[in-house]
Amino acid sequence: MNMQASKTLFRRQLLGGLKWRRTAREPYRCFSCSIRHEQEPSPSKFPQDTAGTTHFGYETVDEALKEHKVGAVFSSVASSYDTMNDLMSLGIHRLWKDYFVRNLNPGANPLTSSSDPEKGWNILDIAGGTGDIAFRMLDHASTINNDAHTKVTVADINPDMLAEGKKRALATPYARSPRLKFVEANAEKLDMIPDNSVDLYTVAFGVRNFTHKDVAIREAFRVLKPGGVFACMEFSKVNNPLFDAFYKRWSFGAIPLIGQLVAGDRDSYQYLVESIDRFPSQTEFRDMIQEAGFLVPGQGWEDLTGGIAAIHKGVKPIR
Amino acid sequence: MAPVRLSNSVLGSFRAASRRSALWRRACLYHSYEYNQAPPFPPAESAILSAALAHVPTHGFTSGALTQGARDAGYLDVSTSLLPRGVFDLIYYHLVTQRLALKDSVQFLAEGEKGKSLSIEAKVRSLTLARLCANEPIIHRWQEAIAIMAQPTYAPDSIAELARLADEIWFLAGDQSVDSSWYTKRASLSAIYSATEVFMTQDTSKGFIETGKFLDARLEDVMKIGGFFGAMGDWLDYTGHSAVNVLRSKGVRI
Amino acid sequence: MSPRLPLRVQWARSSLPRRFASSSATSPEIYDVVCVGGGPAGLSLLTGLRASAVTSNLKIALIEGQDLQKNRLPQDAQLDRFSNRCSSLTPASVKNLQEIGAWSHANIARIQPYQEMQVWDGVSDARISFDWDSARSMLFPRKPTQPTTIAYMIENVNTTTTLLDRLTELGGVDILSSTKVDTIELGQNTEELDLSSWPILTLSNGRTLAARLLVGADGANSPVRTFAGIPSRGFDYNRHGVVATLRLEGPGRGGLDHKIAYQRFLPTGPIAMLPLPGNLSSLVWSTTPDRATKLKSLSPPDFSAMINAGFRLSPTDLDYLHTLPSGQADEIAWREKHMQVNESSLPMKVIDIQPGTVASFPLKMRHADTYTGDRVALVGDAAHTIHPLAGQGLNQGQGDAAALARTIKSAVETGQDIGSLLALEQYNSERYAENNAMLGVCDKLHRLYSIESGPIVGLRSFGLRAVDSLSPLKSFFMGRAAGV
Repeated sequence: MNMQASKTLFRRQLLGGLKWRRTAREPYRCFSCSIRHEQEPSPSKFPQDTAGTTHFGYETVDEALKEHKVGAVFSSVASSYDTMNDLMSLGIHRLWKDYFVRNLNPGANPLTSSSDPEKGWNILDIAGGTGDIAFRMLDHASTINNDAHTKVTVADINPDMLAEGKKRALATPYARSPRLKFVEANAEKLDMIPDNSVDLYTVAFGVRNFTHKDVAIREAFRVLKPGGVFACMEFSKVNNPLFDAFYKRWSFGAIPLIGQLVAGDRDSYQYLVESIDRFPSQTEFRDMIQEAGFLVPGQGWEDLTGGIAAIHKGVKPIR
Repeated sequence: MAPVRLSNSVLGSFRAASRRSALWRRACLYHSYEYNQAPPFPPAESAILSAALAHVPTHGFTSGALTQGARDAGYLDVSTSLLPRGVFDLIYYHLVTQRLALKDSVQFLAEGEKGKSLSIEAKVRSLTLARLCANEPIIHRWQEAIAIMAQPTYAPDSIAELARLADEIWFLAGDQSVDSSWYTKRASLSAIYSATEVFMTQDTSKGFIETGKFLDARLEDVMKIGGFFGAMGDWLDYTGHSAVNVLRSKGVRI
Repeated sequence: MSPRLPLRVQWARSSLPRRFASSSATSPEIYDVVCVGGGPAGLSLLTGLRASAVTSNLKIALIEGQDLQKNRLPQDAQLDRFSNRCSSLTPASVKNLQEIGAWSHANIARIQPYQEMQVWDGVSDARISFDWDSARSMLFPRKPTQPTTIAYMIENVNTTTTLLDRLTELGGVDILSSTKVDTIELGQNTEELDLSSWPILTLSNGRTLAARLLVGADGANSPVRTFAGIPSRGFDYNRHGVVATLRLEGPGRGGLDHKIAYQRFLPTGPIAMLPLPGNLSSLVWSTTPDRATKLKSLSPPDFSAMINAGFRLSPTDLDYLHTLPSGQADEIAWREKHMQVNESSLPMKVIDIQPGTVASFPLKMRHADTYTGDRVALVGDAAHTIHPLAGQGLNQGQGDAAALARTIKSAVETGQDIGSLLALEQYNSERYAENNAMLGVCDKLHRLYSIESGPIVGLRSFGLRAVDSLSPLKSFFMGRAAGV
């Protein structure tokens, strides 16, 4: 209760401190307001029109502020994150994450591999505070590939999310083992991770929150070993225009409302939905990955559920 | 005049872009007299897959072979993510490289050199046998490969590759047809090749002699059927005309 | 239809010496009927025209590229040597020849009527035997006056000599032997004559003839048909017919009075042995071009043995024997030691081949789109070419000649222009459908019996046996084939 009150207070301070919201939007009275807002012409995709600004949802903010704001959003949603995800994607996000991990097939199977059995994979999971991906990776490595040495480092910028992750780790066999580590880090600046040390760098539903995606990708390039894989799962553009119309209706109409009802926090979920919409398309993001120097497999991405989410992969060349 | 082939000029210009083509698997086209073809697979994938093929006799067409290959090529285990279709990419690599190798592995005497040159049918037979023999090192794993190729996600690509193989064999045998027999020849050869390939997976005879006989029997069937349909066409044409002529002789104005 | 002459020319003509259809450089000689080709069909037509009183006033010319006199059958031809080009004349054709008075000129000693025909399937041995005795059922026994002969084997040269003799006897025909036709063109429309619809023939001896009706009896590659612009359709069977004159070990299973013709359908084509007078027989073996070349190259003992094997051994054995370069005689002798065959249903063994009679010709089927054109009519091989398996080719030509003679006769009787399409329509209508049917039947038989295995073999054998046992059906087919 106290937590709730302090959260609300913090948020009010944040909102009160800056007038940008009032000038741009009417106060919320009904859930259809957000739909009207969505129908207003949205600002340009890459809003670097004024120096040092970036997008925060549909708004343009100073770069320095975005991190702060995102932090605020996630701090507020941390505990009910999974519930929210379930409601927003009707549970499909679990399937997506399962598929993501299965497709990457982490772990070195000692039966088929002749290499040093003591060595497993070194996996770095960015923006994975609550540990969804990390636990799945470890389970897959242990049970399917019989690999007891693969380790996962979970890095997140938000300490609240990390705390949530640590809490959940207690229920797994990996809580006190060297296989699981939690690190607070900014994806654009991973100083504590040495160069060429990571086999697999994953980021699931985190990239849209980065201030400078290209910097993060370059950082990923740095920490990965030659031959290592950068795998990113993110919301993306839906292929089918008819389906897209329904999807937009659902996300702008229902999700902030659910946020309001379930978590008591409409604004954060409004941000979430807007940031999804502002994220670059599959081809654009693939091009960004290639620009950083990665080799992309096939066409570079794989659509999930008609393009609502997409998995992007890149492999660091060995020379 | 270059014989008629499946058109590839559109994709050729697409591939000429400096950036890596988005769909590298569609780049596995075939010989052209007009311009040099880029290698069918990008270098990284090529390295991993060629190394992985060496492990297929022991590991079969599995992800284990792929990871071994990745390691041999100097990559990490995780680098097999570079292959979007997993094990099917390995099979596809084998199919494409063996198809493209036919040009160099089978040489025929040019027309006019000493000795009697082979007929086109005999050349088709030699080329088909050569391609089947290329499966020999992995023939004990080939049933797995066929099972993977038959999966609904991969079946269209497998069938397209089979069609390209039939086209390649006819092209190298010197086929110059420009009518509908172009299509029927390739369709019949595709069917014959796939049947013979399946037969070969369970052939235990020495040097695959039984497979050769099977192939000969299928080729002969096609000749007979082709002859039959040709004769049928002629007969129908004649019968139609003679029916009209009989009616005209009786005074019907047609 | 006489050409209209302007008055002053007619007056001028009266003071000039009369010219009787003499050839001049400018105007061609006008004939009513010009027949190109002196084969059996052409000769039969002209004999028919001359024999009938109605058409006996027509001006007729016959043009033949070879020397007709030289190709005659000599009077003293020996009976132990027969030509290898023989044909089977049906009773209907013989009746035609009798009607035009030619049959009495025939060298009867060299004609062999036969009374029975044995036909069987080389793959399944299903058999049908044609003879008039068995064809009539118990309810309608054969009357003594009804003929027993199925057909007559006659050398082609005998037929042509017969007709030529009769034609010479009748006279009235300008026979231009050893003359070739250089060109055929349509005439010109001059002041004197309008020959723009008449075919004008320029011959190798310089003469030009104008034909009211041009009859093409000039064989399968007929120039007259080409001139008329009539296309000819059909197929090449990819088979050659090997012919030879054979000497058998005896006069036949039924003796000299009951000669039997044999035909066995092999998958590569039928082998037929047709009886000639005495111990002789004529062979017609339709087979693939490679095998035909092979057979022609064999020595007489080997060839004789192959013919015997053709009637006795299985197609598989024959396939093997064809692969041997020589020595078939020994191979077959060895095989026969281990085989049991019912000799009474097979022809007698061949012991010798008459030298110089082994030859082959390609088999094809052709049918012209129509038999008549403007002032053109086609008879015989120019109109249709048929597979020899039913022995109908010559008889069709004889039928055509008789029908065309009838048509010309009725045209003259009704005062029509014999070359007009209207007058010739009757001929086309009478003959086209019938010939088409016969061509179709022979073609289908050939295709049916080319199949070596499968359900068709069983079906055709069943069909053959069924016809054999149903005498009314059999007598129907025999009647059709005989043309009665």
